[in-house]
Amino acid sequence: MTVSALGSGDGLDEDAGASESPHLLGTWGYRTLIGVLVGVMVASIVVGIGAGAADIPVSTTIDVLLHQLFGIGAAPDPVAVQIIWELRAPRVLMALVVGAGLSVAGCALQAMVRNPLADPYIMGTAEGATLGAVAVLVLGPAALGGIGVSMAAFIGAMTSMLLVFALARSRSGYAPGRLILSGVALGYLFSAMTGILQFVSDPRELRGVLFWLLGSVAGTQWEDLGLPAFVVIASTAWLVLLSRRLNALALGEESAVALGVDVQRFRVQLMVVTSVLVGAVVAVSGSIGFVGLMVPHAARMLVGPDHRRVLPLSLLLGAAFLGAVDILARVVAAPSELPLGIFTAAAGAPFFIWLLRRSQRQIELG
Amino acid sequence: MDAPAMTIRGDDIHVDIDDASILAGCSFDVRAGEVLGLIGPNGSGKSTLLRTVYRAIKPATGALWIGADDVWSLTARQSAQRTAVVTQNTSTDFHFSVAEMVLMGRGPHKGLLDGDTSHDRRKVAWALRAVDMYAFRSRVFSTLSGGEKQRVLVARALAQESRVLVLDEPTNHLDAHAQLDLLGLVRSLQLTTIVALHDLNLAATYCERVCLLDHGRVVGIAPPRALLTADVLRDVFRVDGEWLTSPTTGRDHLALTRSESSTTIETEKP
Repeated sequence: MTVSALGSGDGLDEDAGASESPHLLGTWGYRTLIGVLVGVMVASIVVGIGAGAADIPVSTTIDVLLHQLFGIGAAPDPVAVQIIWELRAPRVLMALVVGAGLSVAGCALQAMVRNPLADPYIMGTAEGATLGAVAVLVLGPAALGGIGVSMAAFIGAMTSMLLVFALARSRSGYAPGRLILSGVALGYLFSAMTGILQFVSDPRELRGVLFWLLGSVAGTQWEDLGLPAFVVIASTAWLVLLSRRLNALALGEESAVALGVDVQRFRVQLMVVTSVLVGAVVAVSGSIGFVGLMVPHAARMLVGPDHRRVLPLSLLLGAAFLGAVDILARVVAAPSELPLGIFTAAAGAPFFIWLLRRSQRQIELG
Repeated sequence: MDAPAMTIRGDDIHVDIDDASILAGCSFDVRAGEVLGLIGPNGSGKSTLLRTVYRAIKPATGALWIGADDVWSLTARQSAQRTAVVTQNTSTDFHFSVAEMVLMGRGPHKGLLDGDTSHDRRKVAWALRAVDMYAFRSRVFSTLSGGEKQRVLVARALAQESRVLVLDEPTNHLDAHAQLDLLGLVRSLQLTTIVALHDLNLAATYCERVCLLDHGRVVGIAPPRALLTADVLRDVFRVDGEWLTSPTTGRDHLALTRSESSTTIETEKP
């Protein structure tokens, strides 16, 4: 690093390279990574659609996709179209949407509670959403005033979030540790209530509920995709616009106020947006833990904590990660499918433990 | 940038938290460009009073004026454009670099769609040089020492281009050198400043006037030596104090000993 003589140049040029920043990637590294990840995502869509019980060559996959999307080429084999376009394409895309949504929700929650250990499952938000969704699945929409699974999941997530903050409130504001503990406690409570619902449910429904609880995007139809995709994209866009405020909030309530953030209002907005996000994602995918914890971490390790970069990167990393997990889940024990939650937990639990140990030490950089 | 310094004025401010009266009618003023020291025993309401200045607490009654405006007639963002805050001990698990921390000071001047301009980066570089922390710009903030962190937060306040500066016990956890260093820096900025201090000698050295709080009330605002008389020190701080003048520097210093008689003496209200 060259230190410029006083007055010559500002030395904080954003393109000055990684030496100007303690983070692994500077501006160009970040841009390159975003480009690479977009490529990886497109590739994982093609590979993901090709993978599964029925062996379909990549060339056939590409033919079907080109024909269905742009009307290019001769009409392919209808069986291939059925498998690729109706069965696999929606689920592959849903895996990307769910991975992106959980990761973005994790980013928002971590900034909101000022704790890098937060995630929708650790904070009880997803358990609330799960309870809402299972209630509709088991008791039927009629018992809950005719609301759908997504709406019930949102209400569950929002209720959980409000309770967590209400429980963690003290005279001096919200202590991050207390928020996490309230979230964990409420998460267990909601899980227990979900368990009771399973216990009283019809055995024929139970199998479906159990599979859903372990996390899966199998059986996704095109029409299921619209709402979660819209919610994930819209809420990410909103969060990116407000990422300066998220940065300030990550420093603490007092700092955020000092930097001109209307903390009360912003926190309520964040609660609503995160609940909508978690509700929309959990309703279509069930329980897929640890994605919301791991992905934002990986993103911050690469580009630092600025949410203007962390959010877009988490969106793409989360999508790519769950896309890959979904491929694994179909390939490992083919022709049967494993739930996604098994894989994310298997990778996530050791990661979480490593993180806990690491966060006890001061990192040494610079 | 070189807009005239602003005054701060508190009019009969009452703050209650959970039915406890924290501030019971505080009136005070900070003159344009002055460094006002806010002193008082633990629990006297110093932090609360500062929080009313930067719009973190809305008084139950009374008003806080920054320049010609009641802070609660401003938005949070407008208030942050005028007033910058160096908070007590900022610690974070998010590993922002020093430059990123200071860049946050530009936030109150930014709309939702605005990116960081070269003007912003020049401001950040300028602010870091002003506090002599430019060489630390690519370090991780949370790995700095207490004194270095406080300097970075002052740089953030400078990048914020505010005309009012609030510091809440900025010398806590700093060693003697860093304490003098930081307060010297704050004084040299010539901003309208209100700083809460525990150390009465630091207040005496760096503040033209001090404001003494006790039990949520303003005991008085005056130059340190005039305000902190033996009676006031005994009554408010329960210490015996004697002003001494250094034969080498000519500065006033306060020699304190624990008060033996804890009988209360009627406070003089200046």
